[in-house]
Amino acid sequence: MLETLEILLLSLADDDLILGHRHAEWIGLGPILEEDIAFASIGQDEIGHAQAYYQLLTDLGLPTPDEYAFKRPAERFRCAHLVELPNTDYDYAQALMRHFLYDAAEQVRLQALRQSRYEPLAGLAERLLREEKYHWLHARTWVEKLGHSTEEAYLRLKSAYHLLWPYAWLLFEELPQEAAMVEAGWLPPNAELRSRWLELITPILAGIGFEVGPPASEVLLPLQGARHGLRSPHFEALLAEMTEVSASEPEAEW
Amino acid sequence: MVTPKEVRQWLQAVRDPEIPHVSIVDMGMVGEVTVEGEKVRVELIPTYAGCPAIKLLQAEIQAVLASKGLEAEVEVNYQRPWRAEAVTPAGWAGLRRAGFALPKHLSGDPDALFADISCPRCGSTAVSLSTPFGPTACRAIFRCHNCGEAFELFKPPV
Repeated sequence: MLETLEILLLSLADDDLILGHRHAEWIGLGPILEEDIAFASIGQDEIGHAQAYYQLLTDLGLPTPDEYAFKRPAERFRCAHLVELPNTDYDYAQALMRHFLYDAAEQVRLQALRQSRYEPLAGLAERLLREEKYHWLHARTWVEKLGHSTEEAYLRLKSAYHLLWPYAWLLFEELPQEAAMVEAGWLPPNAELRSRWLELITPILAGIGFEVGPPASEVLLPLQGARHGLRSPHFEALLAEMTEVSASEPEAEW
Repeated sequence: MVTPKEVRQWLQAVRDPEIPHVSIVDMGMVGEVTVEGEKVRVELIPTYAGCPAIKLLQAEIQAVLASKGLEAEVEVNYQRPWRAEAVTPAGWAGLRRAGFALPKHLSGDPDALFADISCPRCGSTAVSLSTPFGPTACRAIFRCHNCGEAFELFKPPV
């Protein structure tokens, strides 16, 4: 069961670590100072959350958080491709829409994990949810504000939404060995979590005039496999950059 | 024989470098303390999981207790949520001295936490939230419409 638990915790941790890294790329480049600070702060939270998930594995004799983050080959990461996508042209609408879709998913995931029968995870989810409420408030507020503002804001949000939607849908791709996890009472099936996520975001997206529905299967098919270790073309460069400093002095104490 | 109570008193010397007005004890970050001979176990409860001061605080706890001839093991517990209710009266007073506005509604949701805030400089309630985020995880930035200054709210997880 340890291997199954590792799959679950790495998928949660890696999503947070990689999105935290992407959020941090906004430092110094936000459209206004407050957003620069917001993305930096949210990114720091997400990286801290990743560390706390890795620590649950460390407590069971598996590698340390630093080893998981900085010394793991690309194919052993289990994050969703949504979080790997680069901040192309630093389009704030795209960063905001990703933050919105992801943090809605985190709300749903963490609320469910509070009931997990794996107690260390239930305790951690309770803590993280209390921190995450600010992320969700931030994302929701800006999507609603910009969705009702200028034509340009609306169109840019809409094009970000269309680009990201299939990737966001696959945040809830079935995990390897998911049946055993559900059987153990660790989490509800991802298909069920996706339904709850849709219930949360549909009224908000519909409120700004966006249609919500399942992506076409021919769109989804080539994007699948992230939870099995299949990385997107963007991951290698991200990992090289993220591990550059630690790789320069592998034995250093930080 | 050293008691957990004495250990807590000594840990009054340990402070987050970002908020040196408040000890980790008054911040409610010290959980269980157990003493066995010269070995002490201290449970440290981070305010936010991503707080970068944790490693430093761990080392400082060990240094303070080492100066008393004790060997300390510090267990950082992420599985127990830190709650603002654990801040002591001395802790709240220290946060006020540090220049923070303090929240009136601690539990519930962010909207409640950000309501009924007054400016720590002029006391005005004509204030608005600039961003729920700030220079550290536990701060939000407000603006006062009376004195025109920006100020920070101490923002615990809700």
